[in-house]
Amino acid sequence: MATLLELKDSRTHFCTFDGIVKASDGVSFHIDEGEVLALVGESGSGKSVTARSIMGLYSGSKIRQSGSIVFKGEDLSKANPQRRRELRGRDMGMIFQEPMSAFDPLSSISEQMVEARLTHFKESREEARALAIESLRQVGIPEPEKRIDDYPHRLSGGMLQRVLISIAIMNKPKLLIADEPTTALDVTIQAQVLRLLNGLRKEMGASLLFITHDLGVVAEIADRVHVMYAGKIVEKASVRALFSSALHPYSKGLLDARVTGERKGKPLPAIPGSVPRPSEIAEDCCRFAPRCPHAGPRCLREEPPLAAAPAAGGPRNDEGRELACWLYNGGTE
Amino acid sequence: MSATTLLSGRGLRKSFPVRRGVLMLVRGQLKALHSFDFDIRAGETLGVVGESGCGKTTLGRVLARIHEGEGSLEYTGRDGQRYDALGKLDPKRELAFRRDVQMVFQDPYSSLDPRMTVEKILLEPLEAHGMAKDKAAAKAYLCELLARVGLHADALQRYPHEFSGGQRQRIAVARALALKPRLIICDEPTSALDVSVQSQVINLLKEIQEREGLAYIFISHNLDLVRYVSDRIYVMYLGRVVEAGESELLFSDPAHPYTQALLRSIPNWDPQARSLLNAELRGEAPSPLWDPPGCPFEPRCPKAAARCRSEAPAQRDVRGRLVACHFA
Repeated sequence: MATLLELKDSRTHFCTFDGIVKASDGVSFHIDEGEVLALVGESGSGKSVTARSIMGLYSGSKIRQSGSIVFKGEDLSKANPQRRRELRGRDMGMIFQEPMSAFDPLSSISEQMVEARLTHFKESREEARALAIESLRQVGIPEPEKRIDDYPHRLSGGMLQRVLISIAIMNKPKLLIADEPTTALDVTIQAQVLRLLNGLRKEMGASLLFITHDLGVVAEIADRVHVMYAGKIVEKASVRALFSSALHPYSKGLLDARVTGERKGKPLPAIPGSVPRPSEIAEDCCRFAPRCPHAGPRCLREEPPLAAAPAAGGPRNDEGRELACWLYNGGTE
Repeated sequence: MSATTLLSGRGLRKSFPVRRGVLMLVRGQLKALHSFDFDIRAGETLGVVGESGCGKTTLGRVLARIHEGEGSLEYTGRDGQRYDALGKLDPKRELAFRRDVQMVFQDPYSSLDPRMTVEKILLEPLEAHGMAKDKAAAKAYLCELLARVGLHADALQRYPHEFSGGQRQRIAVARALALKPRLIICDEPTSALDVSVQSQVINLLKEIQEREGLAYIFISHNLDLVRYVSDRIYVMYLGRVVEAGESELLFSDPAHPYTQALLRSIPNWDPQARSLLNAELRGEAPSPLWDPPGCPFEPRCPKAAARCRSEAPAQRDVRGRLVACHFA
């Protein structure tokens, strides 16, 4: 399959009073057409920053970006703001985490949807509105002709998330980026939204970059998974390979930390320590080393590169698997 | 188990006035809690699950006397005397009840005063109950308290912003433990925390319970978590209990259609099965303002019939648990 998006050594650093925060620090990955890629990680891992930099939502003198973001053969890191604006919302759509705060509370849903359409296409307001209603119908909003004139506060969180999805898909983008789209929702609504997102994606033949901290959701929707920690990707694997045998100690820890009924009466396996603050991330060493049960002297001395996992002795299904861990790359001594 | 019943509620209710318009006149009642019955024994963990708006947080707050509820809430004090803990209490009992029933809140970023050092935060409950007269002894006790929640004594002089989310929640747990309570109400204690830190806090709560014989009321929307920590579970929908029983029983053989739907909505972490993409629960939780004459789950229920719309199902015993459904 053709590659739709490719990031090479993409970095986004913020200059703050506490020094330079390297939120996303050398991230490389690609998404094929029609594929679902999940970026998984905890708060501060850099997954949202990576997504926003793909959309081109960062600018200003306090932000330093480098590396390349190639979308349909075009290097976006070299594109001017006007070109980024053209692509944003037309060729790539984004679904944000908090549907309640993603809307302008002072404009009706109709105004916000028509605006999103007319920014990119020369057509009449009536045509745009008709398309918006159709788009709302597609995401399962009951009585879309009436709902479209409502203001955002009139709708529940689950409904607003559907509206947000309908705006993202209205212009038929090739790439959908969903940043924790179900985190603010209840489980029953989460199931509905996942189903909806998956159905629409297939129908449109779009690729989906799905960002979440919830591995349970990843298992439901992703083809491939990249696990991020403290601004770097630590493991790349197919979803089946990751769930049948996670290799990086951090991915393993995340999978083990799952709470299940079978564990009742026994203590839950936990990863010691806590996620480092962005300003406290140590460099020139493995960023997970302070919390890692397998850390050796080399882990504190040298940063492990992301490299293909050794096939010999490794698990099956590991094509394309990459790891940033000395355990699988010459030892931790 | 012949442990004493600590707290037992009958017909617990709580409604909030709904004010609308320029004059903010009362235009209706939001019934957050409709007739809730429960018993909790010493040393037991009771789980409360439900979606947002089902009244689970209101329940926790009524039990902790933060909100004033109606109905009856019988509390058995340390001296074995029973009394109704709703409404006005004589000052002695009020103090005793507030000491015995503590709370851990959802968001450790807003439940700790940013202007107070950890020492002040932990000392405040002791002072309020006149247990900090001997300064040196109080300080030694605080150090011991911190050790019990896995924090170092030098934390005392620091402010909440210097700690990570998990550490802050440990401080909140220490504050709840300071008065040696008999019951802690945990309202979503881990939902604001990172996945890798969640299990640390849960392990800590379990450890403390085993050591000190505390009872917990554990409120959460995370079904896996509630199953893991609880002995018994109450499933809530629109301010009512729809199913209540032993937690393993509810999970292995749910009887109410809502419990069944909830369980089917949990991701099962199996990329080969992808069961969620096939599960189907229509619609969403109704507005808490809606007060139907019949079953509140009727609009979303696959088994719904005409009777469900007109007649509210009473709670009855079905295969060893309580269920409020005509067809269970």
